[in-house]
Amino acid sequence: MDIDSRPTTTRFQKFFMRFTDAGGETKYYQCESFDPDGAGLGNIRLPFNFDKFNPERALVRFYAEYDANDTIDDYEFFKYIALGEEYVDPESVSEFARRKRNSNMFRGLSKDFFLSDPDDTKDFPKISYCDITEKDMFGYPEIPSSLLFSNTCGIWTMHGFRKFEITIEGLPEEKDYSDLTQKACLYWHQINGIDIVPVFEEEIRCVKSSLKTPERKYHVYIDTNKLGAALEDNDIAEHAPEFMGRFEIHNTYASTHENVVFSFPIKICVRDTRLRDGENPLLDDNVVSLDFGTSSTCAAIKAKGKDRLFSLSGNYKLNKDSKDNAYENPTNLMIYNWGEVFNQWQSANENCPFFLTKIDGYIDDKNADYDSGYTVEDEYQTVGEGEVSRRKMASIITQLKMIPSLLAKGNELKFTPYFGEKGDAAKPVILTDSLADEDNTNQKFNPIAFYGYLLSRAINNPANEKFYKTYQISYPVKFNKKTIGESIRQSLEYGIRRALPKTLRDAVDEEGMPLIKVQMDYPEPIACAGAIVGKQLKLDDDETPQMFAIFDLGGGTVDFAFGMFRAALDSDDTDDELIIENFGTDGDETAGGEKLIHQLAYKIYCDNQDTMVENRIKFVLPEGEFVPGGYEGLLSERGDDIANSNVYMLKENLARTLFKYNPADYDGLSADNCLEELFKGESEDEVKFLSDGMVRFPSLRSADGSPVEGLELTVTGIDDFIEDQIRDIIEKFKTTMELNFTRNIEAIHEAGLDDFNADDVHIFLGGNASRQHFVHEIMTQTFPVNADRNYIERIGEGLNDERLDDMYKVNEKTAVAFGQLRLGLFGYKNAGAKIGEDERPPFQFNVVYIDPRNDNPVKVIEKNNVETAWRAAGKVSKETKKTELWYTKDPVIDRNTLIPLSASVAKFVKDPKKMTLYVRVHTEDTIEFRIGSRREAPSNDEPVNEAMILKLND
Amino acid sequence: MKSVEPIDKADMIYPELGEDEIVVPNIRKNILLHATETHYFPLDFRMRNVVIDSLARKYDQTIDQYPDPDDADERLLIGSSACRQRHRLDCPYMRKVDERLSESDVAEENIAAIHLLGADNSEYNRQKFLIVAKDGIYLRDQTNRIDHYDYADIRFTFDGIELLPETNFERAGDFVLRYPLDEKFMTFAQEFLLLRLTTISIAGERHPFADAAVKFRKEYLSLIVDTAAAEGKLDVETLIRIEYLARELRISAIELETYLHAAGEGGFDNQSVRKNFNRLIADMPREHEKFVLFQDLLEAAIGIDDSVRRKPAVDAIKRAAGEKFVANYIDHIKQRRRTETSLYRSIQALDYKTLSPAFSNAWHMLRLAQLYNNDINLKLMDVGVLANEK
Repeated sequence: MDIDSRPTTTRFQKFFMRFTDAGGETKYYQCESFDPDGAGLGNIRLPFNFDKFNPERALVRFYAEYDANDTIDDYEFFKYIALGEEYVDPESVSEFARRKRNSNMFRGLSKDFFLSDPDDTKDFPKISYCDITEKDMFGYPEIPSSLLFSNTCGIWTMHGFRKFEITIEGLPEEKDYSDLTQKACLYWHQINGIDIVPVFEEEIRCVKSSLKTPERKYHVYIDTNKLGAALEDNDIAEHAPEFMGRFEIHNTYASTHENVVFSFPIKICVRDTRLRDGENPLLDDNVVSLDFGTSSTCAAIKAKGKDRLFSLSGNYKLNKDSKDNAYENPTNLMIYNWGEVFNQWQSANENCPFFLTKIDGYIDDKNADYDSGYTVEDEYQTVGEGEVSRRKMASIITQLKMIPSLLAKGNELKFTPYFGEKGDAAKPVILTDSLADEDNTNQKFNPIAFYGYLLSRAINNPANEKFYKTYQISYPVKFNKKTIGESIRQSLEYGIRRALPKTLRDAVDEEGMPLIKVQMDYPEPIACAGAIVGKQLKLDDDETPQMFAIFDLGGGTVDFAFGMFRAALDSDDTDDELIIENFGTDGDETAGGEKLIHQLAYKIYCDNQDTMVENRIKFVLPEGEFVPGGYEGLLSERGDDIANSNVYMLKENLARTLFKYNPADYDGLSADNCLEELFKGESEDEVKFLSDGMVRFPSLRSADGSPVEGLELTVTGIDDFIEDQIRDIIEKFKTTMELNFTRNIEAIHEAGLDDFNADDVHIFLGGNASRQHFVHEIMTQTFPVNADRNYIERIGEGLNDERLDDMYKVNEKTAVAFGQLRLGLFGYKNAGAKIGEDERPPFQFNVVYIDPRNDNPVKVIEKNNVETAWRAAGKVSKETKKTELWYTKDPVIDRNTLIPLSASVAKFVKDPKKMTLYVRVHTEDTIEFRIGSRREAPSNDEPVNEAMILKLND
Repeated sequence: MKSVEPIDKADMIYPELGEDEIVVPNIRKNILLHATETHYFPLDFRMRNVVIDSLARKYDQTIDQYPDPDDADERLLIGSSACRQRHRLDCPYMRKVDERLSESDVAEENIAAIHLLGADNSEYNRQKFLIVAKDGIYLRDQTNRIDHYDYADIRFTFDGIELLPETNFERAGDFVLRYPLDEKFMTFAQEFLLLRLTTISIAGERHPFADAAVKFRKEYLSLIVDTAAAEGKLDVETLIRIEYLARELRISAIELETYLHAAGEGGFDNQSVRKNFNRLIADMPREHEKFVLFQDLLEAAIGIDDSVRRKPAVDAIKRAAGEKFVANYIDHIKQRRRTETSLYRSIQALDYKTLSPAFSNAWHMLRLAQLYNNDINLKLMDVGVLANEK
């Protein structure tokens, strides 16, 4: 018998191939037989076509029975065996034929044993991978493999898990996927080229829809804690070592007892987050400035020399056609999947929590865990009737910043997640501002801490290449910094720390102080000042001090700040050359853009009283409003779900549009005259103009929950209403400005100015709501000289290079965030805090009693007072033995805003002929009282009696 | 001292499975070539053929020493390789064994030693045999059946194989085999049992060179293995100690296998032994560190029968540390081993039922004794260093 045709009885048990492709990557492929009868491989399937497959180097090993194996490292010879002589260089044919003849293993091996892909464009399957952690959390772009391997990016150790998406393209199509069992693994086996104990990743998932296709997508959760441990275990000192690993797919075929393995290389750079002598190259010393606002939040950092903002909504989330500014992140949250959110968020999870955000076309309602930003605001636009809409509304949390103050007033705040725990209906979850509360039960949630986490996670992520250790949060003037402000600071700090690698969260610096600092040093309007001093407010060559006033009309509050920007004096105990001197801050927490919009919605509601009553439309009273007659219980101060839903609807679909309206965009027409332009009503869900002063409102809810559609509403007097509201606020601003500057006249003189003149004050408009056109108009009317001198400006005017992206632009909203970054360049003197011999803060309230002669309020103690002399304060009621005082935080005394102070003093009334009440300032929010006769006041030297203190609440 | 955080605890809370996702089972074994066990020390290391063969070599019971058909010597093969090559023998008795085995489900790759029990000259196949395998013993004695017994159920004695009372109360004391087994076979079986049953403690103690460079550690272990095994006299205690050292030095099972294999092929020549030795001590900046090497090498060089292996290595130590040190330390090793053996024997004789579970692991006790002795050694070294420094 011809030696060539002698049949080989070799049964191949395994075929292994290792090759290096043109990109220098080494891949493996293996077929192995597990036939119990030892029949071996029926044939060898090659997942490529030889016309396309062209490796740089290839090694092929055949394993036969009895452990025999033979290796071919000559790819051409392999092609000869697999394809025959037609496919190799003719000069090599005789040599190859001889080798084959002389080989026990290959002699007689038919080329039909090898099955390659018939498609001549088919190459060996390819791998691609990227990090989609922040894509899933915020809609940011994925981190491609080129950056994952770069030593300026990579991923971080001790940072919880990172979600990788691995795509394998070009896998062979299977005839019968039911015969196939798939397993996979990803392991790291080298660090900087040195072999290590393989570190296996635990969690690999496959996208179901890709399972039976040639292009398979896997999600692998990379455990960065294990990678950190591997660095320590293997004594790796470099900060950014390279990890080499492999991703393998093992396919087992039941019918043929075969196993096929594809093995691909993966490499990443892993940045070590451990501190060495308190240092790490990833740590950035620059400050992160956070303006945590009621309606929107801005975060700014100094990056690569230029201050920039961050967005919580990446490109995948934002509507490209939208005019929304991605960097003014609406401060809201929508919780879809409470079970998953709590599972990740609970403090027992020591790693960075992971949440899926809703992204159109990528992550839908059923799969999302949370949402935040403009996409949540968009939900209001689509709200209609129906269970789905109601559930969505109930799952939204807004005005996070106001939560601590509302809770302090005894309110109970709740929301109802869209989905509850698995399989259960959603139960209401109580909002808290405490950190301890959250752990006891999954029915409490601290949304401020959660939001802080999202901010920190957006800022401190590998794509940004750095993490930050110092955070500066501004606080509103009207918040009690020690209680409410501190509550917000602590919650944000907790969230910020949780987003950092474990190695850093509780690290300390060389002095033993916490490395991660979250500070609340500056009130918001002063932070605004940081944005304008030296830029919009400049010192001339002669360094004449410049006086400034900030009018910050935000979403929840209006804040005022007054001060002076000047050169340092010899008497200033500082090395700074320039000083921002704060003469005082004030404001009104009952005003604010959101509140004005609510009031506008309320006005519209009241203007349509008959319609509302007839249709039993419930509503929530704005803060400070009294319940009017004739509404038959439809109005309340807190409101239920239905009332709140109606408020949202009117606010978001009608009032907000009217409030934001700018006549400059509509040829100077007033809002009342522009309804047709504003409310085109292109769909049934939108408000539609009907006729002058009339619109059709899509849907509100009746008291029984049923939808009421197509209500015709009167919408008139809008401009006048808004103008009046804003005028009131600006009046307060003016009054407070005069008070604060005159109170600090000595400092003004010391700075070299003769006197205070309001016409010399530079007025800056900040805050989102100050974009309302009446603000500038009325300010100009109120301060005409300043306006003529161009001393009334919006913050950011003329500062921005229009060619640059919005992330660099300073405007009314972003000023606080940018301003805080700059405050470190100047000395800061808080004159308002140092008044009086004992440096107590000024008294926060105006205290009055009502003169019975004429029913007018009489001022007893003035706001910002620091004197401690006794003042007569009317009489104690003979019948009730209670004080009859009133107080307000407003600088202007308005009967409608006075709060009663009616404290029982019966046990102190000794003599019925002595019923005159005397009060004096005790602390910034308490007064001390005595009861005496109208002829004789108590001595000012009397020591304090702690039992006779009255507390004034906000 | 660095601490290594345990990385096996599951502290990750992965997100819930998405609607469009399925979990792909994770695979850790049979991963492909490059990453297989580079630093991974699997539990089945001791049952690998190269390890068994390292121990088997000293018994000289391969096919080369197999008696002729007419000889009256016991017919046995010791070692995985030897057993695998038995088909090359021209022995009718062994052929009968093979024939019987081919009808059974005894896995060929598990066989570590074969002892024929007598010689069956009948025309039928009644050849009795005993196989020591990785998964237990296989015995064909009075019947055609091949019986399998786990090691936990039996005890080897000079009269045969006895059932242990703890596991088989009713048949306690029964012999499953009454046959005076060959002494070498018995000794090998005992070593094999020790190999299987010794629990290795976690590599918690830190060898002084555990933190050295990878290359240094590999050369260090390679020299130790060469010293212990190159002359074909490796015993199980030394093997276990070497394995433990490999874990402490974080050297992979594959690497250790290559050293064992190289030792089996004859190991380093004398010159290489000296060169490697000198290179190692040149990398040791501190004087007392060298004594760690000297001690480890001497431990490897002294067999359980007190014989001294690998003279070139011992000579190198003598040159570096002095004859007196070598003599004293060898003496110390011998005495310490006697103490440990006595302790082990006394522990073995205890009635386990009356002891708490902690005591029932004799090897754990032995290990404690070794640790105690190690501590004493270190203290003595410290004292010596201090004395010298003064």
